[in-house]
Parts: sequence; C-alpha cells; structure tokens
Amino acid sequence: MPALVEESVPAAITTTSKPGGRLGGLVGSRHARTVGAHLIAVPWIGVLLGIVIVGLVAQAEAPCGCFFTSTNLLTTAQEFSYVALAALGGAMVIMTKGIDLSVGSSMGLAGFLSADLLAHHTAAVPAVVLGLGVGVLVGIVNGILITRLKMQPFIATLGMLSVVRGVALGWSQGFTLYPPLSFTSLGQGTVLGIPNPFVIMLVIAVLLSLFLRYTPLGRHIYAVGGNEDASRLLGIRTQRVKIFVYAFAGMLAAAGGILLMSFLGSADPGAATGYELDVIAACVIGGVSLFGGEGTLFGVVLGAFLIEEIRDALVLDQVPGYWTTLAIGLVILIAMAIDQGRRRVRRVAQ
Amino acid sequence: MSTESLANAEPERVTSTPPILEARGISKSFGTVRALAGVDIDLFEGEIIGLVGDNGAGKSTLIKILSGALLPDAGEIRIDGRPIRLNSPLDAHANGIETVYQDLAVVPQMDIAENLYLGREVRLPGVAGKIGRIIHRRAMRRQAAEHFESLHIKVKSMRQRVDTLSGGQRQGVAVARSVVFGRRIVIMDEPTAALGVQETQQVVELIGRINARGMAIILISHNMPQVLHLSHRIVVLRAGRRAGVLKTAETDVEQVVRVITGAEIIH
Ligand SMILES: Nc1ncnc2c1ncn2[C@@H]1O[C@H](COP(=O)(O)OP(=O)(O)OP(=O)(O)O)[C@@H](O)[C@H]1O
Ligand SMILES: [Mg+2]
Repeated sequence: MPALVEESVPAAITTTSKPGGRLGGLVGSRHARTVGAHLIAVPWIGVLLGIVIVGLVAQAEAPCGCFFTSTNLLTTAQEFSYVALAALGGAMVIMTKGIDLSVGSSMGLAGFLSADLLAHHTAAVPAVVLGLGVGVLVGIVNGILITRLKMQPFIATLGMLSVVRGVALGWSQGFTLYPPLSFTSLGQGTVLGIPNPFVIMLVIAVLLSLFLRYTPLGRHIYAVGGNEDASRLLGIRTQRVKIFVYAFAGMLAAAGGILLMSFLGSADPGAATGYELDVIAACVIGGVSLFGGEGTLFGVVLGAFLIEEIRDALVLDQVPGYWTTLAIGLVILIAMAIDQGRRRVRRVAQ
Repeated sequence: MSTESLANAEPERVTSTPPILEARGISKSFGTVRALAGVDIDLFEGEIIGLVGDNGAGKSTLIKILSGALLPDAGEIRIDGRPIRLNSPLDAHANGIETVYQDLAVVPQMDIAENLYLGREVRLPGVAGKIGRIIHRRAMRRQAAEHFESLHIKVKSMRQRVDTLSGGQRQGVAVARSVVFGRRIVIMDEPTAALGVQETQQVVELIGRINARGMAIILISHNMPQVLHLSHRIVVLRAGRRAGVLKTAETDVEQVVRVITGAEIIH
C-alpha cells in the first residue's frame, strides 16, 4: 500500500439512502414496512409461515385429526427427501442463472443403474458410487453443452431430459428391476427413529450451505448468477463454476434416485418422471431467484417440504388427488410473483 | 486541488526511464469490423492519460486488451520495457493493472465487502484457510472498511447490498477495488458516464486522490473539460487509429474536439 497522501477532502461519496428508504412507496405504514422488508430480505420466512398455516388447516380439517402425529410427519419427511436432495443441486444451478430439467431423468437412470449392478452381485458401495457417477456424467455433459457449445440451459437440459430417460428406458426394455432385499435398509432404515433419507438430505444440506457461504467457489456460484461478465472480468473462471454446479446437481439427483430406489425396493426405468418440476418449484418457493445470484438451501428444503406437506394435507383431508397438481401450481405462481415483486422493489429502491 | 488543474503539475519524468506500460501496433477485428488498426500508447509513472475519441473509435476495445479481457490480433504490450502476454484479467492483475469497466463490474446481490474482494477472497489463517479454503468474512469487512475510510468513500456498512446503492456509490465500489488491488496502473472506462453532477465530482476527486498516491491512470471520458482538468496527456483515437497525442497543458477543448472529428490532423 503506497503511503497515504492526506489532503483536505470536501464532499465524500456517501450512501445515505434516498427519502422513503429501500421500500418507500411500496408499503404504507412503518410497521408494514419492516414486515415487508423482512419478507423481502429473508424469503424463507414466508415459506415457514406457509408450512405452519397448511399444517394447522390440515390438522383442523382432516377427519382423522392426524396431521400432527409423529407417524404422519415422519412419513412426510421420508417422502420429500428425494426431491429435496435433487433440489439442493437444482438450486445451485439456478443460483448461476441456469436451470436443470434433466434431474428427474438422472434420478431414474442412477437408480436403475445401481439396481442393475446390485442385481448382478456388485457390492453396495461400488454400485452406489457408479450410480452417482452417472449423475455426474450427465451433469458434465449439461455443463459442456452450455459453456462450450453456448446452448441455453433450458434447451440443453431439456434435450438431456429425453436422452437420459431414453437410455434408462431402452436399456431396461421397460422392465422393472429389483435390488437385493438387503439394499432396502439404506432407504427404509432410520437413525434414532428418523428416516435415513431425511437424515442424509439434512446433513448434505447443512454442509452445502456452509460451502456456499464460506468458500470462494461457493461465493463464485452466486457471483456468476449475479453478474457473469463482471465475474469473468474479475478473473473468476465462470465456465468451470457452471460445469461444477451442473455436475454437482447431477450427483445429488443421482443420490436422490438411488435412495428412492432403495426405499421402494424396485427400479422402474420411469421412476422420478416429472420430478424436475418439483425440484424447480421447491427452489422457487424457497426463495431461489430464477434471475440468479440469490437464495439459500435452507429455503429450498422448506420449499420442498411445503410441496410434500400440501400433498399430504390434501390426502388427509380426503380431497381427490386430481386437485393436488392445481394446488401446487398455485403455490408456484405465488412464489414466482413474489420473486418478481422482490426484484421490482429492489430496482425501485436504487 | 479540486479546482487547480493537474495539468499544471506535470510529474517529474526522468527521460531515461521507459514507460511503465507500452503498447505497440495493437490491432483487433470483430468479424469484418476493424475496431483497432495498429494503435500505440505509452503510460509513464504517475501520469494520467486521457483516452478520447468518438463513439466506436475503439477506446473500450483498447483498454479491454490492456486489461487482459480481450486478446489482440496483433501488437505487443510491455511492462517496464519487458514484453508480456495478457491472456486473462488475472495476468493483468499479476502485473499490477486494475480496470474499472464501462459497464459497472459489480454483483448487485452481494454486499460491498464481498464485491471488493470478489475473486480475491481473504481466507482464514492456517489450515482452515489453506486446505479448507474457508474465507475470512470478518477480515474482509474490516479491511474493506479501512480502505473506504482511507479513500474517503463514506458507506453505512460493508454489509450493505450493492443493489441498494446509487450509481455513484456503486462506482465508488468499483473504483475502490481498482485502487486496493492495483499496484501501479488503473484503467477507467467512462467512470462518471452514469453519474449525476455531484457524484461525478466525487469520483473526479477520488481519481485525483489515487493519482496522488502514485498510481498511473488511463482515463476514458467523453467529458472534455473533465479530461483537460485531470490528465497530463491526451491520446485521441479515431476509427481505430491513433489520431494524435496532445500535452494537456498546451491544448484546449476546441483543439481536442477538432482532432477527434478529424478536422485537424496532427502527429
Ligand atoms: N464484442 C464485439 N463484437 C463486435 N463488434 C464489437 C465488439 N466490441 C466492439 N465492437 C466494435 O468495435 C468498434 C469499437 O468499439 P469500442 O467499444 O471499442 O468503442 P468505444 O470507443 O469504446 O466507443 P464508446 O465511446 O461508445 O464507448 C465499434 O465499431 C464496435 O461496434
Ligand atoms: Mg466504450
């Protein structure tokens, strides 16, 4: 650092905010303003609120009155973990302003590959590792299509959705495989009464959150989504960051698919079809902006939970299953509207 | 200092020392568009150069090449007389060159401290930082606050998100980054183009202040009075060629404009 040359400085650049503050004009009263400010700064508060409200309504409306029972809650925890696991990776992709539509197919293929290996007497560890490996491979292909061939993420991963599903279908010839019964202990087992998939998902979510917050690569994932040109000019290897997130997303999807296969005790080549939409919904509901650069994995886990909770609540309330899709669609639209609104408010605040 | 022109205080130049930055015959085409056709530029120790020219003259292209963001088709770049290749912004950083780009190079969703250290994060001491690669958020905030203080850029908190700042405040972050990390050379592409009158004045003062610290500066601007006020020499680009070099003390706005438009030919 060169020696400081002190001089008399008239006006300095100040950051005193303009009258009205960040949210001026949007919300009227002072009180509403602070509540609004928190909802905007911390998106998961709204999701948590949604979870509580849906829970209370479900408890009151369900004829069995059994929403808040440990059995029901643990079942829900079990069932949302596969999507949540895939959504952790999907969220990292969305943070870079990308999208991954191939996660459902990766889940199916990884589950099928692992089951096939297990059925042919491969040991559990290599079978799982190879299953995860196929997910990484799909992700690397996604990443290369996007960074090297400059394809739009939506288009590239839409193509891969079909390709990867096609591999599983063609390979299986449509037949369902069954892994040895012993392998089901992974997905059906519990730790202190808590389902394994939920524990695994939660541990990974915590570790990944720390990674995103406290490592340069984690920060660069947000930076690439926030301003890719600036990131590149600052010397961040943006293409590597992108390939990394797609590969990681593929691996986490594969992990979800293998756990699902283990829980079900069967590998249907069509397993997890359409799960990519649940994954994206979980991210958006959880506050990961589709505009890139923002979001927390905590929010994503809550978002995935809310989706499963709504399904569960509608079942307990004996609402015909056909309406579930509609209900979740509405929640997604609300989340999108909030994301848009948040962006607009921030722009106004500048 | 804000009223007295820097041009009257030309830095002492020992004629035998080579320029700290020297570019020769820089050419660059984008498809059929010849953005630069053999441009030369020298930058001496402690000097501010004004780089001017009409829209599309090639100014941004030239400084992107000097900052490693673009590769030239032809030409040579020397630092202290030593030829170097700038294949990436990292190479430029390694040679002490920092750039403030025309389009604000900040990440709006991140806070001030994070933006300042983006790509050059401070890590924790010891194993946690070296092997765990854990970043030291607190140190970054503290150091960022110190830098902002010493540059007289007032901000409420280093944790403030950049998208809550005004244009001038954001530019302050970009300028601060170039000063904190630039060891000798700072390149600025229209740093005041997006700013209001008062914010422009603040950035102008900041430029004078970092020059007083010994930093050599290449300043691109369409604001001729500003260029004449700040620079020691003016390099004029016209349609991808160097149309002339003027000593600021010996010229005026009218002449610079004549050279920019081609109404006057000099060498
Ligand atoms: N990435 C690119 N692709 C194609 N053409 C480009 C690219 N960048 C610059 N050009 C062209 O090169 C020429 C020089 O552009 P440049 O941005 O260097 O001009 P400038 O002097 O900075 O102009 P301004 O004052 O408007 O910023 C222009 O004709 C421009 O259209
Ligand atoms: Mg330009």
